[in-house]
Amino acid sequence: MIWEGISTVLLNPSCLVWIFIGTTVGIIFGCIPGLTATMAIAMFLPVTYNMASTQGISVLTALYIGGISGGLISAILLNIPGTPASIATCLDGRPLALKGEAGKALGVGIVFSFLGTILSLLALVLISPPLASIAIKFGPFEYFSITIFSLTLIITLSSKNVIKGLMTGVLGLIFATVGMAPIDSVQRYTFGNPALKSGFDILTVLVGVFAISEILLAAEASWTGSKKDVSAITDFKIKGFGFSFKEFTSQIGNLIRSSAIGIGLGILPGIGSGTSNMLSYSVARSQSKHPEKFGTGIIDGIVASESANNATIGGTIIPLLCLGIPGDSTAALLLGALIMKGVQPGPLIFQQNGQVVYAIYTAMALASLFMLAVMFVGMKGFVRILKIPSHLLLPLVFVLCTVGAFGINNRLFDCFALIFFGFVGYLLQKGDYPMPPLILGFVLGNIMEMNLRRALSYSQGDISEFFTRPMSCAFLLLAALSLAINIYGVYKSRKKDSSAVN
Amino acid sequence: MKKYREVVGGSVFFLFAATYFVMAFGIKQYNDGFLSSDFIPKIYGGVLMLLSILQVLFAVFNSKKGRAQEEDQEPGLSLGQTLLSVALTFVLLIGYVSLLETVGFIIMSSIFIFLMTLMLYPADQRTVRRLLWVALIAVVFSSGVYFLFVKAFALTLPAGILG
Repeated sequence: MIWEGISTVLLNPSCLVWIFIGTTVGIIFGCIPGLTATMAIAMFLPVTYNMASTQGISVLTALYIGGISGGLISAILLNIPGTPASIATCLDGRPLALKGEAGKALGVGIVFSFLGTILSLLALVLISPPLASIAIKFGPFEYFSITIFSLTLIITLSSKNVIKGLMTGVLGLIFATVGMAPIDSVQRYTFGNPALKSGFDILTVLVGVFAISEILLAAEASWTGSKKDVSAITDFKIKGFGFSFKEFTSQIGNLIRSSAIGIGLGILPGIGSGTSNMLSYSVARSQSKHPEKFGTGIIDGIVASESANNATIGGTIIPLLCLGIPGDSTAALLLGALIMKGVQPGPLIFQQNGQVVYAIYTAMALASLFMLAVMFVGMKGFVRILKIPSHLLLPLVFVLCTVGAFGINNRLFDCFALIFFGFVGYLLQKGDYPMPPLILGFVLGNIMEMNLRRALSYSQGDISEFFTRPMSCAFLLLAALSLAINIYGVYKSRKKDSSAVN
Repeated sequence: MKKYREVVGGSVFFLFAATYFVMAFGIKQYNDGFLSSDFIPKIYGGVLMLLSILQVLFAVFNSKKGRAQEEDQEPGLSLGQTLLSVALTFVLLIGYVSLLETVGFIIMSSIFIFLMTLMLYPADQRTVRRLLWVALIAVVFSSGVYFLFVKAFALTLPAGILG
C-alpha cells in the first residue's frame, strides 16, 4: 500500500509535471501581494476535475506549498509580504536586503522554508494520529486562552514603543469587529452598507496596510527627491545559497523550535500560517542571546518566520486527513477536493484510502524539492526586481494588488477597502506606529470573541472554568509569563538605552 | 517636532476610540447569551482610549525630561507639498478603482500606470523618450495581466468598453 501510493506519484510523468507546474504557479501567486495560495487552489480546482484522484490532490498540495513559500520573495525584496504568512519575514529580511545582501536573505528564506516543510511532513507521517486526538479535545475555553496568549506577543512585535504597539493591536481588533458579530450575527459598524456585513477581508487589510501605504510614501518622497528609493540596493552577490555552513548550523535550534510552533499552530483550526510566523519570530527573539539585533537584518528572524510558516502546512494537513477537520479556508478547499475524488478524510482514511495518503505525502515531499529548485534557479531573476525603479514598480504592484482584491469576491468594494487600509497604514507609518500588531489583532479578533462567547454559554457565564480546565489554564499561565518576560525585557532595554545615553 | 507628532497621533486615536466606544451603545442586544455583541467593542474602545491618553501623557512627560536628546528627523519638506502629492495619489487610486468597471481593466490600468509613474518620476529625468517607454510598458503590462488572469486562471476582471 505504501509503495503503491508512492509509485502512483513518482512513476507517473504527467503527475510529476503537474506537481512542478503547481509549485511554480503557487510561488508566483505567493509572491504577488494580494494573491494567495488559497486563491491559486480555488482557481485550479476545476483543472483537477478530470484528473485521477492522486494526481489532482498532488497538484493542489503543490500549489499550497509554493504559495506559502513564494511570499518571502516580495517580503524581502519589496518590504511587502506576499501573503499573511510572510509578515515577520519583512522584519529582518528587508534590513538584510538593504545591507546589499538580498541574495543571502532569499537563500536563507528558501532553504529554511524547505526544511520547515520537510520537518512538518515528518510530523505528519510519524505522529499525526496521536497529535490530532489531542487537538480535537480543544474546546472554546482552550481556544480563548491560546488567542490571549498569542495576543500578548503584540508586545514583542511592537519593537520600541510598547504603548504604540498595543494601540495598533487594539486597532486591528477593532477592524475585526466590523460586520456580523459571532454567535448572534448582530450587525456592528456596518453603517447600513450591505458590503460591510461580512466584514473586511484579511487580504485587503494586509495588502492595504503594507503595499498601498508604500505607494503613498513613495509619492510623498518623489516631490522632494529624497533618496528613499527601492532601487538603491542593486549591489548584490549570490554564491550558492548565500550563507555559510557555520551560519546554517547556528540556526538548527531555531529551525526546530520554529517548525514545532508552526506545526502546533497548523494543527489548531483557525490559527494558521498568518499567526505562526509572527509567533515564532517573537519567540525566537525572546529566546535569543542577542534580542537587540532582531530587526536589524539577521538571519535568525528570517529562519524563524519562514520555517514556521511552511511547517504550518504539514500541521494543517494533520487534522484534515485524520479527522476531516479543515483548519482554514485553504484546508477547506483541499477537503472539498478530497471528498470530490471519493476520498473520505477521517480516522478510517488509512485503512480505506491508504494509497492516497501516501501519494499525498510523496507529492508534498516532491513539491518542496521543486520549490527549492525553482526558487534557487529563479533567485537571480527575483533579485533583478530591485533594478526596476520604484516609480515604475509601485504602480505595477498596485495594479496587481487590485487584481488580487477584486479576485476575492469579484466586487469593487474590496478594492476601495484596499485604498482605505492603505490610507490607514500611511497615517500609522507617519506616526511611527508598528504594523505587525495590527495584522495579529485583526486575525485573532474574531476567533477570540467567538470562543469567549461560546465558552461562557457552555459554562453558564462562569469564568472559573477558564482556570479549572488544565490546557486552558496552562495557556493563560503562559500568557501571564510571556507578559511578565516581555515587560521585563522592555524595562531592561530601556534602562540600557538610558545608561548608554548618559 | 517629535512631541507634537505624538500628541497629535494620540489625540486622533482618542477621538477614533471615543467615537467607536459611543457607537457601541447603539449595537442591538439580544440577552439570550451571557455576553451580547456590544460587550467586546466597548472593551476595545475603552482600552484604546486609555492607551491613547497614556501616549499623550508619555510624550509630554518625556519631552520635559529629555529635551536635549530630541532629534529632528523632518527633512525640510513643506507640509503643503506633501499633502498635495499624497492627495493627488489618492485621487489617482480612487479614480482608477471607480472607473475600472465601466471603462475596463486594460484601458484603466494602462492610464493609471502611466499617470502614476509620471507623478512619481523624478522631475530631472522626465524626457519624452523615457515617457514613451513608460506608456509602452503600461499597455503591455496591463494587457499581459488581463490575458494571463482571465484566460489562464479563469478570474473575471472587468472588460469594460473593450468587452
